Amino acid sequence: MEIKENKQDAILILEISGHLDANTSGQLEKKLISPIDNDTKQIIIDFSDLEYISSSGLRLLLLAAKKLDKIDGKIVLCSMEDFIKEVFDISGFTPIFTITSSQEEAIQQF
Amino acid sequence: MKSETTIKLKNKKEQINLAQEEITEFCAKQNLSNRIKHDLNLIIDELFSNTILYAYDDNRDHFIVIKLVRRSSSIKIIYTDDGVKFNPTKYSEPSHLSKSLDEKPIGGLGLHLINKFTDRMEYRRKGNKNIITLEKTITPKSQQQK
Repeated sequence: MEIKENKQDAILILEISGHLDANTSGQLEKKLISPIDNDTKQIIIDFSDLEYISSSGLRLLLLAAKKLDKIDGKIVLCSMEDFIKEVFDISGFTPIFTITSSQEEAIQQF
Repeated sequence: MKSETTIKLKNKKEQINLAQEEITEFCAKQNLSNRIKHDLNLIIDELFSNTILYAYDDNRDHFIVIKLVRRSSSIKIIYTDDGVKFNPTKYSEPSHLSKSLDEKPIGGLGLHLINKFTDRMEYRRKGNKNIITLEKTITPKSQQQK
């Protein structure tokens, strides 16, 4: 998995590619959870080049959403392939995340 | 049309990379869509994660063997480990799927995903081995999604 980090104003944008699974979720955890613990409240994760997400990846996103909720922060997920979206639907995760079709739309959510 | 591949992994979590390479190769040879490749990766990742996390209580090396068999309209996955007895078919749908963010527990999703992404699952214990046989139907729709 590769993670590209960008900042737009106060928004942290993480573009992830490859596989978000048990073996790689630790990499994303470092880039995602530490900023939240240091008071980053606006986060976008761009899934454009993500090939698959497993339950470990979902668990990590849930953890991030819970932490952000406590500090009045928000996470927006964008640019998911249909088969990734289906994993979210099946897991009951779709209603708890804001999901947009592009990064531009995601930025407008803040 | 029948073809198969066998993937042998050690009980180290990094070995999932090897499985992913083999799945990619298998799908390319069999002309399977990205959609099917995605589902196979997900199913095998969840099974392997469970094995790594829960199957062994010693520090010894173990081997996990995964056989993929292409049939005309399905793929059969035969997953074998020598860990503690674990029957994934005795699973019930988690009750937290429709819960709100606050109430959602962190965990318990892997088996649910395996179940949803396969069409049939069988389990047997043979000697010291767990043998899980799964079948994934290839529909024209799933094969079209690139």
